[in-house]
Amino acid sequence: MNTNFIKLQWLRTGWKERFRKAPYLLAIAIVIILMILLGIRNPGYLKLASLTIKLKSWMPLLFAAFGQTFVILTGGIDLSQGSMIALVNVIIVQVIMLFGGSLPGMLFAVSVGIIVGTLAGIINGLILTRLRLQPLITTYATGIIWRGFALSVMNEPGGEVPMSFYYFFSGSFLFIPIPVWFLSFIVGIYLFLLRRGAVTQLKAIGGYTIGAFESGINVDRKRVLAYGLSGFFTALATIAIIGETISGSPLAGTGYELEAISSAAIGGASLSGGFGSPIGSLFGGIITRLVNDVIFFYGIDVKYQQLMQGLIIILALSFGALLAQSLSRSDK
Amino acid sequence: MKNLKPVLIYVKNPTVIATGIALLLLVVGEFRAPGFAKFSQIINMLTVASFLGIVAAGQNLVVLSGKGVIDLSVGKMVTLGAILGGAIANGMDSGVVLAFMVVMIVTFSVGILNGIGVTLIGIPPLIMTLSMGIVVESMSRFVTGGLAVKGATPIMSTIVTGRFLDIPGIIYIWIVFTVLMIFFQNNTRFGMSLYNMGNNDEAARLSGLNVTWLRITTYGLSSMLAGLAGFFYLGYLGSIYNISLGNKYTLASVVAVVVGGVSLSGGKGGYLGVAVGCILLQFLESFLTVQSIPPWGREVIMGVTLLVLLTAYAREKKLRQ
Amino acid sequence: MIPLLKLKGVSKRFGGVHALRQCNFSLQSGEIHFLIGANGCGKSTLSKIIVCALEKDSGEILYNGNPVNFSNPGDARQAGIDVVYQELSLIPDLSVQENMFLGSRNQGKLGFTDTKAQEKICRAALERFKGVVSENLTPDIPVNRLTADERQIVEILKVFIREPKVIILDEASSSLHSTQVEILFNLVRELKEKGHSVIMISHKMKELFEIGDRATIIRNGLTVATVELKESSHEEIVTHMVGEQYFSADKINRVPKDEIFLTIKDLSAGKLKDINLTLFKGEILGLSGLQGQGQSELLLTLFGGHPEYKGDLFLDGKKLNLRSPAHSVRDGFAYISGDRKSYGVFPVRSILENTVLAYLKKTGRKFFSRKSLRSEVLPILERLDLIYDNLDDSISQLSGGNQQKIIIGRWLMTGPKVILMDDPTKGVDIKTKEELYALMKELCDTGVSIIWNSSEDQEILRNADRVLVLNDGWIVDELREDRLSEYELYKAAMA
Repeated sequence: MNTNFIKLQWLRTGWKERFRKAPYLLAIAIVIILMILLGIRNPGYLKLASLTIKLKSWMPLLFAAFGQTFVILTGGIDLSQGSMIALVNVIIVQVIMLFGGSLPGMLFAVSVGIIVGTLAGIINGLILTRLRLQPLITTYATGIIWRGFALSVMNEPGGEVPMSFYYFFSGSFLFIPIPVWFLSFIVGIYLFLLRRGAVTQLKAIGGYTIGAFESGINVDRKRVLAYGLSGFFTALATIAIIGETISGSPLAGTGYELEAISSAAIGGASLSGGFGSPIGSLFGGIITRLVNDVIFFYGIDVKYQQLMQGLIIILALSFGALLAQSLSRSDK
Repeated sequence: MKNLKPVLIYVKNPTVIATGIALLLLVVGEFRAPGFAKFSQIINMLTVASFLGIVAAGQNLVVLSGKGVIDLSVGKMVTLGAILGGAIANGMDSGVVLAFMVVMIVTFSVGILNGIGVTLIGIPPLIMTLSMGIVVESMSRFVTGGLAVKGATPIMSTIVTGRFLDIPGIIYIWIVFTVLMIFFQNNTRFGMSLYNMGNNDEAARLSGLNVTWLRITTYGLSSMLAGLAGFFYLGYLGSIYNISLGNKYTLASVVAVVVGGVSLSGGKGGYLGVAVGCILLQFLESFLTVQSIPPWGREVIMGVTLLVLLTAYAREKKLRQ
Repeated sequence: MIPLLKLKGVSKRFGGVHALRQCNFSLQSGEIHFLIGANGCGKSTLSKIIVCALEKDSGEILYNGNPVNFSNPGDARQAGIDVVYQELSLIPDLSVQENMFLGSRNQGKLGFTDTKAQEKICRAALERFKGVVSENLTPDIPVNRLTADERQIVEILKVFIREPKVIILDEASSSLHSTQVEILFNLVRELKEKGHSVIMISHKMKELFEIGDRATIIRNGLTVATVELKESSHEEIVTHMVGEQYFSADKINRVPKDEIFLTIKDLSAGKLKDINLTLFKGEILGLSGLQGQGQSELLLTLFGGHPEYKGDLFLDGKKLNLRSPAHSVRDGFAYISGDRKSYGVFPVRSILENTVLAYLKKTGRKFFSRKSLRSEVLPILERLDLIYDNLDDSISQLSGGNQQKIIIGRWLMTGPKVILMDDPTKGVDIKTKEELYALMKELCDTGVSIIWNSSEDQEILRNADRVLVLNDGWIVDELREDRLSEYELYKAAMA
């Protein structure tokens, strides 16, 4: 009884199978196409050095999208991410200033930030599961609260972080750029969770909650874990943001949650839960950023930039949705 | 005890709770900051709430129509309505009718696209409407072309802010609008269908409803109402100062809808509650502003209040019954 | 001997409906114990309460002689009690292997999942069903790609690989072929030999006497008797199941109908192959056979659920185009499903709204006053003998049987010509069932025709004018008059 609109019959079944196993293949394909487009126009773009700089500026979104995906897999959503960034941002900056910008002070500040972010996420999860509330509206409400706390720490943009913070993110360690280390780190965490079976359990909750419950999964606890992870990665995103802005702002992070969600969707995650991969969201995030660059380098009028961006995202989503539809049809 | 049951049902009704809290805010507000509940002050608050009221009406219809169905493009649509209206009327009263028609048609069409994306293509509503928001914002930018658009025409301002019996026109409009919405939800087949398909999509289809068509049209209506609110908003403000003018309405409309007792799972909640929800939110905001509470405290209280309201009547079923 | 598992006075209510009333039940080690009873009598509820997938209202559960109170099915599993759920607990997008090990403790190093070891166990388990499932069924295929019987097998194996002390099989054989059932029974017997216990819920008498040791009969939420199967008979169990209201299948006078109303020529859609049938005016045409042989699909196709069908249909001489339910409604079809939750009721909406929607659509009325709607609905509800407080109450407050009456009322308002019924009496109590049969006959007297699929052979043999038997999408036999018997029906269905 599906509304059959467009059937992607020209796509060979073999490819459909591959997409099913790795929902992010589509995203990777788009990344490659966009890279080629950029390379044709501006060969310098694809140089390692320039890509490293790009990667550094993409990091905040990539981390946020990565964290958001764990929540999306369970069929939830985290609209408080943007405000969480603000909260963690001002706390880290305040603590750094408290310790006068010393190295131990910075390390301490960063740890505090990570703890605060994770805690905020866990609180989200606890409120949702204990009070049995809808994720969308609840995380919106907690987002307002986090933003309020951020304002209480710092009521206007300001503060200063040593430049070393900035240089750290531009540098490299063992010849490998720091952003790459960071990415490897978060992918490592993902692999750890995957091997522990946690990712499968999150997917199970999003796919069929009752079934997951009947299979013996402690659904509430796993949902709290997902929100905690979202908070944790959001804190990492904030650290990357400070690496760019080297200052604090209670208004930081506005709109990040929506970009993160759309990155996850472009990366192949199903917003109704149960399907997708945080790795896909990384590529989704890269697409979100690359589209801007393509539009810029092709000299498209500023007026059309946003329009193009919106249309390209809708196009990518449509293709993904049609693919999913045709997959579920071939199930019969 | 048995006689208490009907009373209890009444007390647990979201509209009643929201109305009660709104009145309580007025009383406490007046007590703490005399003048808060003054007639003119209340009228001011209602005026500001009326625009959200119209946007939330569209959101109400969309959210009713199914689980997880939502329209997050409404904020940008408010901006588009205002900017498009201003640009076409070009400051002249003679162009107002044309401007109004164009705004209605354009916003309705964009909403239809939302609906098609959600139903026929199968993009999740949240992300579809969010992405459409980006497109709509760029349309607004395209209309302004980076230059300032002429503001509201005299007649537009008169309709919205002109006072009759000390009450501005927009409030009369809102009252009429509320009556129409309630009629639509309770006494038309379209309205009843929305409730039923929101409750059980498949059963609605099997009762002979064209669910796809209904949902597409509902998205059209939602966008159109947001455009309408934008058009009035222009009349209220007199001029447009920035492109993010309507952004706040996106999530505010969702909050108003939920506070008004509409279930995000679909199929439950009427516009009377939503209208009260809009008023309550505005009262709360004004209340927090007049108290000598620092901005951060206002935000925290706002968030906590929301959570308390949600806990009061928007809880989901237990996994283990 | 202390029973392995004992339930004392367990009760459970859903809203105003008593699903279980003071149930008592005990399970010995190493026995195969059947739970039997009519549809919706509370068997599944009982099994879910044992593992705490549902919360009991009152009563006590003793396991190994100690009272237990699990807080979720995970706890029960740790204690060695596991369920094969009737609606399956599988996650569609996950692979067979992921599903099988979902929620189990990780065995590998550092608490990692040992996927290699899992795959080995998974393959070994699937090996048991080799030859009776398609080659498709491998550890890495997602469950949503499997057929119904393969999913059922995965759900079964998911539980068996853990070798729980107590295993509950809730209708685990209903979607399996006989060869597959044989393997399932072997698995059950092996567990029994190891001293484990099995609770089986089934409708099939044959199975009961084949491998069961004892059986507990549940009727309307009450455990009415527990019998030793060796000393019992088919008749004794049926008597317990139906209580005093046991009817003999007396011969009913059927007036032959001859006015052709609906003709279906060479209809193929989905599972259906070359369906040819004629429906007479004022006739009750039964569809029967084993479950899932295309009966439901035939009804859904007629209701516009398979727009890509092939074949020609004529209603009252007019050619039909079954594009969507909306078209079918316009043509005079009505559809009533036994799965009210999915296809029937609007649970939070009022009785009034649940009754009028299709009527408004069919009559093209766009506006109405609630008062006039009320006055239009009342005569219909009166005709259905419906008891309710207020038309504005939500439909969920009514019992299953009364909800079904509302759905029938919804369609009666549209003045249908052909009513399609897909197991409409599922989960309906005996008294209401009788009322529904009477109502169906009454409708037929007014010239309405009914196509009726039922999973209860007796009701259809007793009440239908003719019965078509389906097997694997084909109509294999037509039973009428003298041949309307269970014997003939099974003969045709099993062929």
